[in-house]
Amino acid sequence: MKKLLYIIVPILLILPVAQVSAQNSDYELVKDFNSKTELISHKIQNAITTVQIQGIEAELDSVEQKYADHKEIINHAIYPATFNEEIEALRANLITNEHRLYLIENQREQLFDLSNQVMAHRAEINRMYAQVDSLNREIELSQASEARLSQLVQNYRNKVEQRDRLLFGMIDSLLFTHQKLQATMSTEQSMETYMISDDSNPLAMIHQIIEQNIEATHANNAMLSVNDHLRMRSLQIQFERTWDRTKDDFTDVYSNDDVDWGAQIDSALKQWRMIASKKMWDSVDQYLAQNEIDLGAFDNRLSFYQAMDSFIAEGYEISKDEFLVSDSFQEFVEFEEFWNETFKTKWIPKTPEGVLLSEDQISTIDAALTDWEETARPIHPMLAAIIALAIVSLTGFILVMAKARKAR
Amino acid sequence: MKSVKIIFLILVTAVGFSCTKSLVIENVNYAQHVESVVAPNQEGIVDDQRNNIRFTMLPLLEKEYGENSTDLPEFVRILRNSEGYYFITAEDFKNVYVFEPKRGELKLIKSILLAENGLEKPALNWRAPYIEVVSFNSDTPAYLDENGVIKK
Repeated sequence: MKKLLYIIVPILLILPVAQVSAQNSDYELVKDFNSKTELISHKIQNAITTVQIQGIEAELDSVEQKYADHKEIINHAIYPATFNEEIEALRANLITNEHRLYLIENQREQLFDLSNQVMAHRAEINRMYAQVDSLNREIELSQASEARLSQLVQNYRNKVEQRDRLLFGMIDSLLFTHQKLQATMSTEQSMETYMISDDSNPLAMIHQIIEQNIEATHANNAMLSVNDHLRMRSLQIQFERTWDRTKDDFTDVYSNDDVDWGAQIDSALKQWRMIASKKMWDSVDQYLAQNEIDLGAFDNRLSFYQAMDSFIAEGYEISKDEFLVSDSFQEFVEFEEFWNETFKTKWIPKTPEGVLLSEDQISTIDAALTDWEETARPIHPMLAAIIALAIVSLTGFILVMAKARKAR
Repeated sequence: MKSVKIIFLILVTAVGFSCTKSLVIENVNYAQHVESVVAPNQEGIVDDQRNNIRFTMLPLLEKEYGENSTDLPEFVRILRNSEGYYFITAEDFKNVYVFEPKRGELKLIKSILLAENGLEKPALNWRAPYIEVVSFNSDTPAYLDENGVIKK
């Protein structure tokens, strides 16, 4: 054993000396430098975290320090490049990649947050849908007590409202995340694409939520009011506007080779829009029918405006032909009350601009109503009595004057 | 009259000579700062593309190993000093060979014996004005010029 040690130890002592000798070759030194810089360049390109980049930076510092004394030899060997240029190029590459990875990590965190938010929303929304469905079934079955039914309807409407609030919350989350993504994408760096499974892919979740809404809008209980339908239509509009703004970025980020989520969501949104719009106009029509205001048929903003315009024009024409009596005035009063106290005060503030009527259309209806009022308003009874008295007095005066002339 | 002709002839000849005298640029530094390590092909041709020199190794092998030797080294190491002489060696070579470049040829001017048993992992470095030879054979490098070993 001792003999073996006597052999090994000198070998181990000599070996480093021999290596030192080999390393004194300028050629080997340049070769080492080239292979080290090449390896660092490769590592920079393949780094996937900023922590790795920091490690590579330390490695680059060490290479720079180690070979700085041999700069002249290296410069000759790698001409027309230089030692400084090589190191600087690597450092620039390192910084660029570090920045890129920082953005990616930042985006990853945001996307992770978004996925979590969407998943949380989805769970909550699903729970709300279940509650709404259950209440709907209960309403259909409950015929026993009117008070009980009324309570159920109230609960149902509350739950639908809560569900819609959750959806608004989710839209806000999407918008907020979109703004943050835009902030990080403001550099020349293009957005990284992440392959995310359908389970946690926000696009899949958005699509599912729209599908659920289409179903829910279809199945809406007849007991929902115009206000409920207006709120649901507003929700749909807000959802669509947010999607239009965020679509490109989200589809870039969450693209999936198998499914064209962008097209699928567009198509589902179109369907939701049509159903929500139809339900809203149906509920307005139903409300007017209940209040005995017969505007005729309408199913969109233009036909609704035209129906109201015709209704007022007809009322105006009728009022023009009336003199001392004004039957159309009652009709005017009912419509004016609907217009000012319900339509303008309760409905318009609940809907995005231009959904029910545009500002110009509202102004036109206001002006037409003023004209109608002036024409339809009957003469006050006291005024009529004064006029009658004046006519009688005038007639009496004329008769008296005539008699007086005859007597003369 | 004859002497005038002779003087004229001498003058013309002198002017002629002065016109044909070649231009010489002095103090040219041919030094190659890092050696070339080139693998010869199967025919023993060494082609250093970086420094634009191509030659056959076969006469050198004959000189190093004797006649009919076909043992080609894996790599040949070539370095040129500031005077323009080529220093060539390889693994297991006993010598470093110094060649003077001529028109279309390399002329051996010196064989410098450095290791009787052949050089182990030799390398040539330019340490102006000398060529440094490092190898596993010795802890201290040898310094050469075209005349031989300067310092060991």
